[in-house]
Amino acid sequence: MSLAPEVYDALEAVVGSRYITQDPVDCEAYSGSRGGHGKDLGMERVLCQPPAAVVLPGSTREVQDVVRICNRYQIPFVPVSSYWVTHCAPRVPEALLIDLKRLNSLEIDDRHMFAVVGPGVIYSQLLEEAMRRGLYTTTPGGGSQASVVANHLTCGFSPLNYRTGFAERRILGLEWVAPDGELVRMGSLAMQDDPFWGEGIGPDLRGVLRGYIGWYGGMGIVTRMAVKLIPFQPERLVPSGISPETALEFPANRIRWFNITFPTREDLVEAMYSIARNEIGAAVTKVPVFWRYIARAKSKEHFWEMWEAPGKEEEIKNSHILRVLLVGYTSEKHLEYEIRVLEDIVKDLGGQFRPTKQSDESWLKNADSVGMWWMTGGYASIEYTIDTLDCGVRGGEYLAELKTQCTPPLMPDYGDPGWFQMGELGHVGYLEFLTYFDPEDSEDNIHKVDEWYYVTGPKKDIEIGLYNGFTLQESPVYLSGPAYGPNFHLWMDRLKGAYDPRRISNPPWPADVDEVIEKVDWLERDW
Amino acid sequence: MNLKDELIKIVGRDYVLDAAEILEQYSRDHSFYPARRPNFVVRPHNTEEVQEIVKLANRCQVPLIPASSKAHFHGCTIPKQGGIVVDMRRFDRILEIDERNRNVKIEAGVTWGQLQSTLAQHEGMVVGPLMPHPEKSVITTFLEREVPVIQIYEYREPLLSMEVVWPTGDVFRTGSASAKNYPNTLVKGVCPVGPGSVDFYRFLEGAQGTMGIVIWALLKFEYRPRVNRTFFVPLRSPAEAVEPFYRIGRRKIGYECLLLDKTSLISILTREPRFDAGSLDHVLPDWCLILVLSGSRARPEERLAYEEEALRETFKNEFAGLQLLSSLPGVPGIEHKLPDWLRDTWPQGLPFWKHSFKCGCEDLPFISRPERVPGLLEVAAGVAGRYGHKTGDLGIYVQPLENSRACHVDLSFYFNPDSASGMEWTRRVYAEVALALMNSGALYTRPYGVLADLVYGRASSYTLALKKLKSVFDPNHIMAPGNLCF
Repeated sequence: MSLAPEVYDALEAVVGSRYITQDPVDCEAYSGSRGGHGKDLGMERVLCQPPAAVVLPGSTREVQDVVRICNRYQIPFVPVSSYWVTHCAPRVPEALLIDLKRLNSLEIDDRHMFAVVGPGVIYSQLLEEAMRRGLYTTTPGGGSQASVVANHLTCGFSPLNYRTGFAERRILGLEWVAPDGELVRMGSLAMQDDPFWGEGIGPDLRGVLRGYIGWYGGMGIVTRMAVKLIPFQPERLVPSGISPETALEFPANRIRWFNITFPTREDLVEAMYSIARNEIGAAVTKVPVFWRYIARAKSKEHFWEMWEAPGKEEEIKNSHILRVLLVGYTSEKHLEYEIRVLEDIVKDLGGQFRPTKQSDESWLKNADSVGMWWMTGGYASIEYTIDTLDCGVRGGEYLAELKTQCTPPLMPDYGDPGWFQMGELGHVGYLEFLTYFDPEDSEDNIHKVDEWYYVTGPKKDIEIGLYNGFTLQESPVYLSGPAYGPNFHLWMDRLKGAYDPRRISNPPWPADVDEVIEKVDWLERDW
Repeated sequence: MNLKDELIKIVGRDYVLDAAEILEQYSRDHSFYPARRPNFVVRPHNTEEVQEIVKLANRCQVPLIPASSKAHFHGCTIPKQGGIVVDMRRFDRILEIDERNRNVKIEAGVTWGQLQSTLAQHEGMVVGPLMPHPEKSVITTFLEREVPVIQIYEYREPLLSMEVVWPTGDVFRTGSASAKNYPNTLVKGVCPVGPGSVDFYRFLEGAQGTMGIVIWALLKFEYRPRVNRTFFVPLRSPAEAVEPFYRIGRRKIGYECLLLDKTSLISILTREPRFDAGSLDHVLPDWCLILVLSGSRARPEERLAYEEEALRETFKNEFAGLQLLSSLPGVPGIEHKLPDWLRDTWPQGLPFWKHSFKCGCEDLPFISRPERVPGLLEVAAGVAGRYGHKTGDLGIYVQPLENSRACHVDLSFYFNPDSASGMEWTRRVYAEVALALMNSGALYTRPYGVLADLVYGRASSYTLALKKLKSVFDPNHIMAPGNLCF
């Protein structure tokens, strides 16, 4: 596969010979690596293919010119930044991959609490600079190695959203190269050369760029984005440890983690509601029990030794651990006040404080998503519901029961109802239900995982009324579309037609899974 | 069958109005925009009726103008090209109050007066704009992105899921309420985003009725604090407020934090008969920064204590030249009343505070960085001065936003609605000031009337993209034509 010479020449004229390649080895490297969210599912194995060429534009203008060339020659294109989830590789032949890593400018307006970033900037870079200024933002579940722009457009969930809110609320002014090559400036950038404000003039076109999730490159390319930063606290978090076991030590007068056990799940949930009602906390989360084992394990073998020890099921059934982060945003006395309120709540509900390290290894700057799947090798979250916390807890219980039908080949987690947490000071709750499997398992077992993922889970969501927005990327849109909205998929399709009339921005999104199901014989379409 | 008969068939004879005096009422609002009469006013009472009306309008190519409030302020519901006003006043039910998850589900016609009094019984409040008109629709307020007066919540947007009838006639639920079989599902509808890769609710915001008719929405509500402490900082100019804004916002101190000029403050305070404008004019400062600290549900006094300590420390160390007062000289007892006033609707039956000066008022709202606000106010005063405006002829309200990284500014242009020449004169001043401010960096995200021509003329790529969006949802351009750039 390669591009026609005239197309290659046109692209080379834009980016220069150093930043374009159609060497098969280079292209193979861009064909979708293994290991990562959803990267070992059937869709990846069936649809992923190497691009015909790769370009690395260095400016918005170059991106715009590349996209216009793609339009002129009808070349499908796929933009990528940090390759974390699926959809980072072309699904169709003869596609151009646009690697955005050269767009790596980072500016921070300390006084007005926002950063302007290109898609090549990752969270780790942004947070290092933000925290120097007493500011922060959410480090997402995708990890601090995720692109700030891509993550704000795609997902952006973490326990810190308890205070910082949905990522889509933190998107300010931006530059969007629409799929047809038109440059559209949004927010205050639409009117002036200042990206400090996000709202649109009248109806807000940020709504085109993402909803619950983004378009995974299916709706053009954002080349520059201002993102909101939030006041944090003034003390420095000091790095400690030796890679890969590193941490940020907390200043004891301003930040504290608390681990609290409760007699029952109901008590734990009541505590979460009570914390939110009293408007304290920076994060309020119940994490999957096996994460604690991952944290303790020294090796994969050590993990399995601990996880498969006798009596594990009973132990997990009775394990109700809440993790709460408190921050003295205003002052040291702010933290002291919140500790007193938390102690009241814990006492009322019969909880007990447990020892925990006063450092961060996961959420403030370092989110280590890779560490979440090493014990099996394959991972994808089947559920990503946002609604009330009660809804999330019930949903997790339903899914835990359903999962028994597919375990093995899925990793057993003994009925644990997943990861649930509060968002937006308790106005919303969040459920993520993680699924682990061995990507080297037999073909039959991998096919069972696919069925669980693409068909069983989405059907259960529709049946019980869960709002699994994130895994739209892993459910057939012609199954979920009619059920939600209704017919949200038709509106997406019309918007796609309006802004991408040639349908060249990462096709066939959002119908990838539908295509997989049409192509394979181990999944059946009955809707 | 003619149009009237078709409408009667949908909503019933009692709810299709075309008497001249009724149409006259709907031809104008509290703004200074010229009157235009609709052909009909209809008052549906369920989603199906709204849907049928929209389908009829598409068949007949007749404009529809949605109207949910009983009081309108910016000319958005004046039919620019005739048509049918869809008055949503019969959608006036508070459908559900969910105390556990702190949200309320209301229909489009529910007013501020109705909602806040109900929520007060549950120790709750929807955080609204500064003293909203009691007859204004709550949902419209937030669709129009009016600015909440309390900014402590990072997620300040209160709208959650909604049900909407798109201009095509399709009924759609946004956010998690989009789930099949809602509300008989696990989800309660509290997630605003999606479904899918589109934030549909963003298209309804700032749309001035051009993108569809919202039937109901869920909104967050917050705990209404019982223990409060009010502080006043008298100022000679708005420039003196800038640095305190930045510092207070950055340290997350307090609930309300706002700046009012003397004219606006008098308009608010004179709701109590014991205060008269003349006396207040002598005792009030030219500008007043108002801060309210409040206790939470738990240990309220302790929260007040650490916030007050931080506030006093900030002023002592950084703003020693400013007075931090716990009462307002010449206005005894107001420090106890103001927290409730700021969290409530304007009282039913009293002339609206923005109308107390000359009976008419048109607001010019814009967004800016705090440090630029004083300069922009000087620009406005300079242009208005050329038209003979003196200090105090404009009302000014400055609201820090998002931990004070930005400010919302409302300039109130007062006029006598009974004087056609006076209104025309005000329109001219308003347009001149608006242009000068835009050229100096003021950002208009809610472009009403003349502002629309200014901003869309300048933001060409955004305008083009917006028109594509409009053509997807309203291919026949029947919804509120003449508003925005449509």
